[in-house]
Amino acid sequence: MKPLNLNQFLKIIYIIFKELFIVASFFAILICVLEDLQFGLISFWFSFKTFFIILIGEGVLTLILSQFVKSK
Amino acid sequence: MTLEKAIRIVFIIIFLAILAWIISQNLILSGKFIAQHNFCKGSRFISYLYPENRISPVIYSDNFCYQNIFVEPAYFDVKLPRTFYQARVDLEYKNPNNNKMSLAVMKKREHPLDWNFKIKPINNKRINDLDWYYINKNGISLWQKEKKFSSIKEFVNNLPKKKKIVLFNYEFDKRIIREHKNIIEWSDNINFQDKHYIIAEFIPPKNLKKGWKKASVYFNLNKSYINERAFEFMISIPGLTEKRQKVSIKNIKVTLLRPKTNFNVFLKDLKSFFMRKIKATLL
Repeated sequence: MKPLNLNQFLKIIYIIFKELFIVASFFAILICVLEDLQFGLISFWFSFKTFFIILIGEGVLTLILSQFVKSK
Repeated sequence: MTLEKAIRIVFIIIFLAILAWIISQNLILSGKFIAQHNFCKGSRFISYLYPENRISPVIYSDNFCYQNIFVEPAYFDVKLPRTFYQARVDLEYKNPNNNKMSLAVMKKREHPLDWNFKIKPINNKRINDLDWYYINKNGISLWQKEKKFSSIKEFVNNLPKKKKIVLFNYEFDKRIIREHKNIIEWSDNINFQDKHYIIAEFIPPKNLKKGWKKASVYFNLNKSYINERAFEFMISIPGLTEKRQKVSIKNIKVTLLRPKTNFNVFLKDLKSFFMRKIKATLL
């Protein structure tokens, strides 16, 4: 098995980040809808603020990585 | 399967697990839910004392934080993930003038002017100072001038007919009261000299360090006490305002109980939980 070069490694990281962003965004929408419908008190167990800060940060990182991967 | 799909499936499973965890937290499967507020750091479930114009801001001391009540009554809310049927409220307070204190829970307000409470005593100086033989169980206390009964159950099932029994915040069946002529309701100036027993739905507060005390108050509750998904508690200290005194509160711990959800009733419980939420959303 050949060791991964930097480009391949970055591509895998980019795919992981992209998939995480897609799934987490759907999850965020679902949680917001449930909370808005007053479906239990989700906000007590779950910090929306922290989650959205991480999600936005992760999205920005994915965007940067995508530019980097495409340019190679 | 491509790498992208495999990663996506893994993340979907992870987020579904998080969602299941959040729902299970809301379901309170263990039947026991504990919330605590020590005033140093806000609590997600227990509010600060209010209204603001009767209460001091949070005071940060060396090892703890507290709020002072200057004008009574003061309130605090406990947010509820589900309906609970029993509550134990542990309150750490400082009442330097030993004022009479009560804790009450508000009934559901059907109209804005509804103002009904279930009230329980927190502090009763005369009982606190009593040196009679004392036992308690599940929030019920019994004081005996001379020790005769080793449990409250034994006392209740064999009420001594010739001895005088004082009821403090406790009710016997009307039939029992008719049969026993020596049962006397509590009054503030009651004379203990010719009394033999006191039974009360009240636990005397425990003394902590530096004048702080810890009171435990038990409530039997149900849906008719829930206001906007919360139990609303009131701390009443009659006479505090007129005497220009203060009472400090440094810790509130609320233990809420409901029937435990075991595996057999889990699906039924989950279904009823979702149905109630859907109904509440549609109505």
